[in-house]
Amino acid sequence: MMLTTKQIMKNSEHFSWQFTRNVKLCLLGVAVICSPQILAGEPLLDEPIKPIPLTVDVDLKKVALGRLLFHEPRLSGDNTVSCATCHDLKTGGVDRTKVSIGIKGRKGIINSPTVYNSGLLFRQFWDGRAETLEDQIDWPIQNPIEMGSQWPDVLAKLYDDDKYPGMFKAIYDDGITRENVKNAIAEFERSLITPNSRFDQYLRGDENAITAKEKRGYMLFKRYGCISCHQGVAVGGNMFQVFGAINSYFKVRGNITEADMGRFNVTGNPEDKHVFKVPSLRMVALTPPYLHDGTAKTMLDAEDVMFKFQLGRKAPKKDKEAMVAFLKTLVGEHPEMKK
Amino acid sequence: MKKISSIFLLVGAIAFSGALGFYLVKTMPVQQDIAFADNIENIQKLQTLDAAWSLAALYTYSTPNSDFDEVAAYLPRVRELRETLSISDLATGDVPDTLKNKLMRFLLMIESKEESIEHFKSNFAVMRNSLKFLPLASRALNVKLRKMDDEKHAASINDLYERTNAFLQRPDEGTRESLLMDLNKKDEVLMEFPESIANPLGNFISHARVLVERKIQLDSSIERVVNLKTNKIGDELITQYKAYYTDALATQYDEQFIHFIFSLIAALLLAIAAITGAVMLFRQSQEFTEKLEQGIAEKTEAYEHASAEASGSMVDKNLDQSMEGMGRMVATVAHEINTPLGYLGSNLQVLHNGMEKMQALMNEFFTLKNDLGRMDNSDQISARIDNFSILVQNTQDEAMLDELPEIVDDMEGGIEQIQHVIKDLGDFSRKDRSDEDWFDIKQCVESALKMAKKEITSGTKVQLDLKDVPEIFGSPAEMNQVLINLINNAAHAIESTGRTDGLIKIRTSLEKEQVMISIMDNGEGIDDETRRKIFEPFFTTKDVGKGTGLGLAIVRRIVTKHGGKVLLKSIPGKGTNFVFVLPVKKKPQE
Repeated sequence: MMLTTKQIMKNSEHFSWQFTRNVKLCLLGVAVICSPQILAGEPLLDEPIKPIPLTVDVDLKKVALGRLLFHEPRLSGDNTVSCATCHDLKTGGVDRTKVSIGIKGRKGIINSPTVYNSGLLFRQFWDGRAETLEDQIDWPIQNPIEMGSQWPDVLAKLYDDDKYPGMFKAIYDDGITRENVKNAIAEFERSLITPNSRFDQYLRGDENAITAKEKRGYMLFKRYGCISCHQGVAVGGNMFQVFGAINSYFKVRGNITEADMGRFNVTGNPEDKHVFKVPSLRMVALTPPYLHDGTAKTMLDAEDVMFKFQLGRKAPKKDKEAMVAFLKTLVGEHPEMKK
Repeated sequence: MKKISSIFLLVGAIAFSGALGFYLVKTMPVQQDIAFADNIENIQKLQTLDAAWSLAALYTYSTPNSDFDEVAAYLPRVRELRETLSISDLATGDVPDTLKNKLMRFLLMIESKEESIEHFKSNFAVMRNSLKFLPLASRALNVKLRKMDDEKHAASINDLYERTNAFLQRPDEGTRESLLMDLNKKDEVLMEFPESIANPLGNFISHARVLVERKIQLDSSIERVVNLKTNKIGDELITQYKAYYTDALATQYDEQFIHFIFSLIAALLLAIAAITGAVMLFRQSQEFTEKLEQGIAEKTEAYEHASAEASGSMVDKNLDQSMEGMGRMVATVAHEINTPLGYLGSNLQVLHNGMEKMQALMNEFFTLKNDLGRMDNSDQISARIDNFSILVQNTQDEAMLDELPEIVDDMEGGIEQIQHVIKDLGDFSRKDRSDEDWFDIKQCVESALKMAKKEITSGTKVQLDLKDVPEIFGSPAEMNQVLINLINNAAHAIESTGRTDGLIKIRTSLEKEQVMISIMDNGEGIDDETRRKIFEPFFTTKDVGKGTGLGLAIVRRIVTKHGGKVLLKSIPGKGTNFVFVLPVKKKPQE
C-alpha cells in the first residue's frame, strides 16, 4: 500500500514541478471525492496513459486575475474578442467551429484547440512554436485576424480600469506590464486541468468505472497503435508527428495552405513538413470539429482519417465505435465546465 | 607654519588613503566571483540534464508501454538553463569572443538536441506501429493468396517481407534503394489485383515503405540523441572559461598592485614633508596590504574549491560515457525483444480474462443442465434459459470473444519478431562460444565480412585473396569475433580519414606450417604511443559509443588461446596491417 500511494504521489509530482507556485489549489475538493476510489483496487501503473494529477500548484491570486483577463474583451483591438470567445470554458474550452472568428469577422486559418489541460502540453500551438503558455499569448493578442491588438494599447486600457491596477499591484511589484498580464493568464490556464475522469478512476484502481465496451475500446486503441502517439497524462500533447505518417493526407485533400506546412514553418527543416503537435485527446468528446483543418465533424470521422493516413489499416465500424466510447471516458472535471 | 602644513598634509594623507581604501573595496571582484561560479554550475547542470535526457529517451525506446511525458518534462528545465546562460555575463559581458562563441556553440548544440529528440520520438512512434503490423499484414496476405492458389505472388510478398526484415536488422543504402524500388513496382501493379487483395497489399506496401524509409532516420536520430558531443564542448567551455578567469584575476591583481605601489610612492613623498602623515599613511597601507593578501587567499581558495568540484563531476561524466556504449547496445536489444513482449503480455491478460469468463460460463452451463433435469415448469425453464442466454451474450462482450482470433494473431506476430531477433543473435554465435571443432577459416572470413558490412562505408572496396588453407581446430564463433573486430577497426580507420577510395585487403595463406590471416587497410594508421597500449583492455581512440575499448584485447585473448600470435604493422597516415597466425594441427584420421 505504501508503494502504491508513493507511486501515485510520484505521478502527481511528475508534473507539479512545472508549477513552482506556492499555493496548492484543490480543485473542487476532488481529492476528497476520489480518495476512497484510490483505495478501492490496485491502480494500473504500467499503462501508457497516466491519470491527471488531482491537484495543481498555482497562485490563487494570479488565477483570479488571470480569469478576469481571460474573459476581458479589451485585450482585443476593438474590445470585442476575449480569449474566452474562441476558448469557451463552458463548451470544452473551444468554440466548436471549423476555424474561429476574430475581430471584425475575420476568419482564422487553423482549428482552435481547447484551453483545458493546455498546461500539460509540452509546447503550444499546432506547430509548437511557443514553448510556454506565457509565450503563446503574444500571438493571439497581436494577430490581426484574431484579437488584433498592440501591447501598449492593451496595457493602457488596463491602467484606465478601476480594478486592474490594484489587483496587479497586489501580486506584482511592477504592476501592469506585458509580462505580468501574460503570466496571470498563463497561471489561470494552468489551473484548467480536468482530473477525475472515469478513465482516470479506472487507472486509479476502480475496475467498474468504465464499461466492458469502453474497456474494449481502450484495448483497441492500444492494439491499433493510436497509443503510440496519444499517450501520457494528456493522451497526446507531448510529441510531434507528421500528418500522413503512412499515406499522404495532403495529396488526397489538396489545396495546401501555409498552416498545413506545420512545424516546417517554425524550423525550416524539410523533415518537419506537415508535422504537427499530437493533440491531447482528454477533452476530445467535447471539442468538435477535429483535425488542424477542422474537416472531421465527428469523432468517427476523425478516426476514419487517422486509420487511413496515420495507421494505414482498416478497422470495422464496431471497433471504431468502441473506441469513441473509450474516448468519451477521458473527459474529467473542472468547476468552469459547470458554470 | 610648520604645524599648519603638517596638519594639512595629515588631512591630505588621510583623504588619500581613504580614497585608496575605497578603490580597493570597489575593485574587489566579489560579484564577478559569484557570476563565475554560477555560470560554471549552470553549464554543468545543463551537461548533466543533457545526459539524463538521453537516457530517458533510450528508456522509452527499450520499455514497452512507455510514454513520452518524462522525456518532454526535460524541456522546461533545459530551456530555463539555456536562457539563463544566454543572458549571463559569459554571453554578454566583457569576455573574449572565443569564449562567447564556445558558449553559443554549446547552447546551439543543446537546441539541436531538442530537435533530435523530437525526430526520434516521431520516427519511433511510427516505426513501432509498422513493425507490429507488417508481420500480420504479410501473413494475412499470404493466407489469402494461397487460398486463391496464387503461389507466385504469395512468394513475392514473402520475399519482400523477408528482405524488409533483413534490411531492418542491417540497414545499408544499397539494399534500401533496391527494396524501395521493388516496393514501388508492386505498388504500381496494385490495380491488377482484385480489391480483396489490393487493399491489404496496399497497406502492406505502405508499411514496408515507411519502415525502410524511416529506419535510417530513426537510427541517426538515436545516434544524435545518444552522442554526447555537448558534454565534450561543455567540458572544453568550462576549461577555457576557468583559464580565462584565472588570467583575468591575475591581471586584475597586477593592476591593483601597480596602483598600490604608485600610491605608496606618492604617500612616501608626502611623508617626507610630514612624518606624522607618513606614519599614518604607512599604517594604513600596511592594513591595506593585509587586506589585499587576505583577498587573494580567499579568492584562490574559492577558485580551487570550484575547480575541484568541476573536475570531480568530470570524472563522473567520463564514467557515464563508458557506460553509454554498453547502455545503447542493451537498450537496442531490449527494445527489439521488449516491444513484442509488451503486447504479448497485454494480450495474454485479455486471453486470461476471457478464459476466466468462459470457465464461469461453462460452470453455469453444467449447473443449468443439472437443474433443468429436475424442473418441469416450462415457464421456469424458459426463464432460466433466458437468463443463461443473457449470460452468454455478456460473456461474449466481456471476454472479447470476437477479438480473440486477432489477439492470437498479434501474439503470433510478436513471437515471430522475437524469433527474428534471437535468430540474428544466434547467427552471431552460431554455436556455443566454447564449442570447439575443425573449421575453415575462409568461411569464417566470409561470414564475418557479412556481419561487419554495416560498418564499411560505401566508397570502400574489399579485396579478398583467400588461399586454400588447412582447417583450424578451435572455436569458429570466437574466430568470427576476432575477424569482425579487425574488419570493423579497418573500416573505422578508413572512415576517420574520410577518404572515398578506402581499401580493405583480406588474405589467408599457409606459411611455415602456420595459417596466416592478414587484414590490411589504407586508413589513418596507428602511432607508436597508441600501438603500445592498443591491446590493453578499455583502451580506445574512438569516439564515445563507437568502441568499447575491448575489441583488440579480445582479439589477442582469443588468438593466444588458439595457440597463435597477433602482429601489427602500421604507418601513421598510410594504413595498418593486422596479421595473426594460427598453428596447424594434425587432423585425427576418421
